[in-house]
Amino acid sequence: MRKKVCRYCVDREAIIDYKNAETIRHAVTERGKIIPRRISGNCAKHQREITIAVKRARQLALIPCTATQLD
Amino acid sequence: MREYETIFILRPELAGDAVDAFNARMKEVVTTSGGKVIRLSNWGKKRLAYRLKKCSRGTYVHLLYLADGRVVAELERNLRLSDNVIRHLSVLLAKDVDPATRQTEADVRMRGDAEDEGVSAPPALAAQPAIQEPAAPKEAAAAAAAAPAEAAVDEPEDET
Repeated sequence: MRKKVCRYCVDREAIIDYKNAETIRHAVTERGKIIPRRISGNCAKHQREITIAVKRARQLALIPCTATQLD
Repeated sequence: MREYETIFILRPELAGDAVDAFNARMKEVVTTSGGKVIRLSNWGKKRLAYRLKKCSRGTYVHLLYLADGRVVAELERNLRLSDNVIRHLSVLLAKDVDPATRQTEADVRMRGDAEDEGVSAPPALAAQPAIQEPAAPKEAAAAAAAAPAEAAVDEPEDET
């Protein structure tokens, strides 16, 4: 199996910013769940940044918490 | 001093000049309690990913400032007291910032993706500017932040 590499380590252009929903979209599934390191292959440092960013973006209603909205 | 950013979401019913008045008041809260406002950006009216306090839209305002922790507490207290604010979030960006080195910037105003309820373009079209708009302030901020770092970073070596 191919060794996965952290895309944020490889690509310095790929930024993690909770204010920009587009940068966060890659980090979550269609259901809005955070993609685990096991799947994405991100390094611990960047995964940590991602989880924090996703949770902040959710708080600000920039990205959904779930696919089925509790309206 | 420390660099903080606070984002708050205002009720969509609030008219344009009422938003400006409210923002001016929040800037005043920061300055009078000893902080220094760097930039206030109005992201415009945006669609929320989920409903907050029965609202499906909201006006996003981003406030970047230098202050101590007390100032943040004071600002958040004011945001909580106001009925216009449906959500707010403060984040610490940097510690030990010298206020003299940071220039005050002009207010930024962006168009949201849901300016007019009902009359706006179909969702697919309306969503388009939303993707572009939030990128603008962030890019500028990222560029400023990345500038010193970039010089130090060389091209990553090729792995075989």
